[in-house]
Amino acid sequence: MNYGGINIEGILEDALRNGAEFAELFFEETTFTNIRVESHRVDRAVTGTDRGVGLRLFSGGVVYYASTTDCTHDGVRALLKKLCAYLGQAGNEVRVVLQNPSRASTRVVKHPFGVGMARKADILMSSQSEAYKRVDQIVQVQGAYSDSSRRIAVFSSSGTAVEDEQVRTTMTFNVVLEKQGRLYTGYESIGGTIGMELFNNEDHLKAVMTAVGRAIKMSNSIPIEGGPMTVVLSSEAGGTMIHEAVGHGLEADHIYKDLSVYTGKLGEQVASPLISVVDDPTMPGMRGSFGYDDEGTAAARTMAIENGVLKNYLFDLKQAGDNGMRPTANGRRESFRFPPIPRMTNTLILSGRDDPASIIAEVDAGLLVFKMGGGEVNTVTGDFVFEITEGHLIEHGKTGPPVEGAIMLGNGPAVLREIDRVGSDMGYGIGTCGKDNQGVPVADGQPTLRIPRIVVGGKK
Amino acid sequence: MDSTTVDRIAGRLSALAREHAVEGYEAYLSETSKTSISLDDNRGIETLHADEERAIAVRVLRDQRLGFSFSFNPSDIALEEAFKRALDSTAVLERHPFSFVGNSPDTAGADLFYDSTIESTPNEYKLGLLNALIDAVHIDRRIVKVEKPSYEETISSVSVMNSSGVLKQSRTTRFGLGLSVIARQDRDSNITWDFQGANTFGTLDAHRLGKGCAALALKTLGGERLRTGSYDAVFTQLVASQFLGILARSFAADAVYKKTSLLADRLGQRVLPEHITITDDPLLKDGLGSVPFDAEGSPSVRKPLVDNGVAATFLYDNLYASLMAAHTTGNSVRPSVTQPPSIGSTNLVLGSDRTGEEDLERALYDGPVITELMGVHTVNPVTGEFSLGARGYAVKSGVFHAPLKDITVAGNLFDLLMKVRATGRDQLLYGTIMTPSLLITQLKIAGADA
Repeated sequence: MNYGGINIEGILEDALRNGAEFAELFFEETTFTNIRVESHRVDRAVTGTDRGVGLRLFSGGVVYYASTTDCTHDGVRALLKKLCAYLGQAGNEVRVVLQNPSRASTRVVKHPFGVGMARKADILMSSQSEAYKRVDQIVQVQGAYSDSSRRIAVFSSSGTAVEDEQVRTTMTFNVVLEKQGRLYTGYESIGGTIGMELFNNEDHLKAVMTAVGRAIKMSNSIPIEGGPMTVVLSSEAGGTMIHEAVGHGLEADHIYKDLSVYTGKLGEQVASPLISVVDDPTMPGMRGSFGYDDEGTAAARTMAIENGVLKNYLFDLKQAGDNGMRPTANGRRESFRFPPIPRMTNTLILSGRDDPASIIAEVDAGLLVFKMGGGEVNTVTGDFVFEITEGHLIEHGKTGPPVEGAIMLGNGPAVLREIDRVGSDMGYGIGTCGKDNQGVPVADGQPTLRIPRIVVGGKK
Repeated sequence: MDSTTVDRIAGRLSALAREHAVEGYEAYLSETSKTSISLDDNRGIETLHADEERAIAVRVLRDQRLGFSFSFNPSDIALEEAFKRALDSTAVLERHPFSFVGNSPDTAGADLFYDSTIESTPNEYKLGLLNALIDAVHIDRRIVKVEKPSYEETISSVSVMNSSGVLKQSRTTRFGLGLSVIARQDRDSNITWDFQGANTFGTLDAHRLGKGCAALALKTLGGERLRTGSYDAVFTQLVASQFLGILARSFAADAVYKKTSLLADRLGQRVLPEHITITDDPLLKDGLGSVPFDAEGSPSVRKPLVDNGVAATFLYDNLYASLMAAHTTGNSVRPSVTQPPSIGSTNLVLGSDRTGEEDLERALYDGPVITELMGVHTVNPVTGEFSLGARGYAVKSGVFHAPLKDITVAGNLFDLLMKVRATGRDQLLYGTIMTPSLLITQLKIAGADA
């Protein structure tokens, strides 16, 4: 097959001849637009294309990876030559036959390519002015728009030949308020695998006002004394908790290197029977969705924990192959500059049966979290933290005053066993997940949840 | 890039500039070659990565609007496309009182941070470093695993040219060693991470890195919670460097201009105890932020950000220097060639004019030593508010007592810095930040029930 002037089968066969057991070429072309507004003006407007190719070889248990921005035949040949110099074993004559690539693409109503920079900047500027109009103490509204069309092609010596186009559009707002010499911020983001229809229902205006509302709440917040307490995570809060408390620990590279608290626990009860966890890149419009993962595996839903029982891990090709398991479409990479590794996509705790309002009503004293920010986990111990960007006290079953920025610190398996209420609702949050210096777009979701006792960091 | 390519691009740009009647232009060319190797449990190679990148970033000034674009293809056609995209983007941008600045001599040689010995360093030496790292770690049977001992080298060449006559070129080498150590005992387990960076291959000290990481893994294995309260505490150099990294943003002129810096109105005021000075040092030996000139070709200069406790200067590039009637401090940086240059610190050095404590734990006497933070990326750089997970160990009567876990530390970065009571005599360079360990008074810690 000729792809962009490159004889694909020829390259893959040469790699096998030189000692590789598996060879894969990954082409990527991402055309993006980024616009940033600050201080009533467009601060930054960039459009361009990031383009390159990565070659991955497996040989004798070692992963060899090389990438280049030179996408010509000579450029790819040079990658092969460089890696083959390291291969220590004799190879085989194998004929690689590839079919025409299978294709997938994000279904968008209005592709960002069809809309000019001026219109995109206008959506941001009008949202920004709306915020300034409403509140006096605002010192800054930072708005950012980004769209990207990421076209990937994957060809491998095991016969994979796929192409996928992933379109993502995102808008974020960060509002800064000043009150009595102190600064307060509020943040909100919207986006997904979606085109310009993201703005059809004026969701950008709602988002900027949500950010303003959060900054105001923060300026009225009170410090709380830290320590263990009952916490209710509202479904609106996003899904950072599930991402950190369980998601990373289920990634197969952590599992098989014995770096996870979930290692060797398949089939065991690892969470409360109320808890089921799925990872699902097939959900239309969600930020972590795609047609094929970055190794060419077709997107599929993975039931990771079902009624508290650990059912499966999240696999890429390497971990699945080494451990006799099936790939689960979790092989992802930030760009052609990186080899794929097991990553989450859209990760959710499924809804339960409890009425969200009564979950809160049952708590005499505790913390109600309306928005979670970033987090981090130590997969070896299962200890995780995440930021509470909007939290309120619960006083006698009612929502009380907002609390100053705090974090929660817990242990994944312990928290999953202790969750005692699971709401019948569902909410989602979007983000970019970092691992091994690679960022990939993800979404997380959960219903309203109650954790009877967890450490909250406070400032009083 | 080779001189023929640079000349060709310079010629093509000046032709495009005439053709489109622009007021000025700038091109930033970079060529980067990166190799990284990590070993597996049996000391075989686990992964080997080799990456090559050639990029051109272009800025164009038309009608006093500063457009930007880039390309990963050095051909004439791709350059012309990037130039036109940059021109197109000016349509939505505001006017600035900006002009490209002309040539000024560099304070450092073009190859000052380039280690030419790497050209003849055999791969066996690099693998040797990794093996030495593993050897240094296995000091105790509770250490069960070394995860991803890795070596990384980056060789880059940069050229900056503009319509005011700047044409500068430099080469840089950067080396890194990193690892995680896993310790286990009974039901407790723990992972500790550490790294080392340098511009010269010979500076890497695998033995020191491995031994230090292993010792810390053992000191923080298992442990108890601390009661919620307010404590005097020691921050190790790693923890201190993480806080300093966040502070740097408050000194950037763009943050000041946009009123998103708490230091905006505090130049000339006390922000740190009197004995402390923080310097931005682009000429620091083995600093990973060291460069002979910045991303716009301005010469690198050392400057104190905080001079004996007083906020002394902000960091400028040419754009914000023109907006704020100041001069560039040579702090234009390009974290990615796909984005316009921005303002950033190079290397930060925290020093004290007092002789540091020989033994800061002795000076602390009773209290926690914080060795690791979790969730550092969640610290709010605008307000300085932080609430983080932490690990470490407790010191009693001046000596190691017991590991600590499940604790959180909280406060405001600016308040915290005012509470630095003493520094250690143990300054350490962590990539781009050099600091001794710090003794902080009255740190809010939440742990077990109050």
